[in-house]
Amino acid sequence: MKSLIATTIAAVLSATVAFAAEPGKTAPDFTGKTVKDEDASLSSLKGKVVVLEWVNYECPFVKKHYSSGNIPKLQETYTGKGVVWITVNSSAEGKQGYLEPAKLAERSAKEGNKASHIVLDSAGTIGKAYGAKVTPHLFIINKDGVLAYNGAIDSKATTTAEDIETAEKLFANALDAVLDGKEVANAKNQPYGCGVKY
Amino acid sequence: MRIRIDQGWHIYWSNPGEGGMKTSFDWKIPAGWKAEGPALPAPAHFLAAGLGSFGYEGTVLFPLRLTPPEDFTGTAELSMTVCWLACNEDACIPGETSATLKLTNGRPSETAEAAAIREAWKTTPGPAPEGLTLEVKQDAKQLVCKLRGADGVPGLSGATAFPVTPQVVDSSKVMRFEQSADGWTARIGRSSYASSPAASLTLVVVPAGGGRPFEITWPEKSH
Repeated sequence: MKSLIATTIAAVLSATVAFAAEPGKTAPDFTGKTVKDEDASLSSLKGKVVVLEWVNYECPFVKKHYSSGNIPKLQETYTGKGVVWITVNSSAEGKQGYLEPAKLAERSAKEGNKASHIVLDSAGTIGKAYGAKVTPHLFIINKDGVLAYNGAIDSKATTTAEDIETAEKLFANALDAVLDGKEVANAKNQPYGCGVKY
Repeated sequence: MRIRIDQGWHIYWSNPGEGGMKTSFDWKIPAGWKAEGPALPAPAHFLAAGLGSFGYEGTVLFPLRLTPPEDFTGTAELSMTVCWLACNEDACIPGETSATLKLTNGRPSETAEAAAIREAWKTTPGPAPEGLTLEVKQDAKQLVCKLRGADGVPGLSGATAFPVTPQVVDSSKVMRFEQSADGWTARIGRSSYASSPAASLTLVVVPAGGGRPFEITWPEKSH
């Protein structure tokens, strides 16, 4: 009975937020705490290009992109171009991927994470506002606070690091377009990964 | 290829739905041999945290057909690697295994697994029944799929259907055909990733009452 209710609630919640983060619309505002116990909010980042990256370090798809250095390299490259990159962990307490702040900071450092901020979202508020479904799931918000990308990191939905090189770089291409002030060609696509453990 | 999946876990179909990763098979066969398949049985549907996916639990058999060259003599070694992602409510674990088959010339004879293999083929989709067509109408919210032209096909009322074509229909629900005035109709929401109306849709239809599943495509493929 319990699991039936939980599934129904999750499904209703999912339906409610299904269109919350559509490219072309204003990105949902959020407030959260970073692992350094500082406040992070979208409204404080007006005028910046912001990336939201959903993470679960135990998910094999996330491991693919961190063990290979792919995501850390993207974080380093684009924060170097003035992008504010926020890694978000929406795993609920007790579920896979959840780490309390100090441990999340430690694990992130170990994984080579070079994001501007790492935000703990164990209540799932930010995840549900954006409709973050899997890890990794990437969102790009342009300087005007409009959502410019909601989708996969790349085109090869596998757990094999060797596939990164030959995959179409869906997220990076979109971010380049945003930084160049150009239209994003493929602004919404299906991200691959493990379900976010709300 | 028989895969036994631990209780509570599942692996994925060719269209995994949301999350997950399709099970893939990679062959190494000698020159002159033909390998057909492995064929994928019609999947089950899983719903976890609002994400719908298609795949398998328990024990699943993927049947395949190997044809030697006409002049085959001696021994041939064929090997296959299977890659999967097994997920349960809490976690996902990728896995892979390889299997090798050594085949030699000889008189045809059935192995102990022959009956299981014959049954396995019946779980995989066959061609659509003669005269049956699929028509799809779509609007911004949903697709209306209609099967027409096969009064003699049993089990279409209550038949379930699974989308082979990814990112067209909402995977959180299972399509079900019900009898309508001019055939059998199933309604399903659009996938939130469908950026424009679908140009085509292939379904695996599983008749109610245990008949063999079949695959059907809209628009109809020209021969």
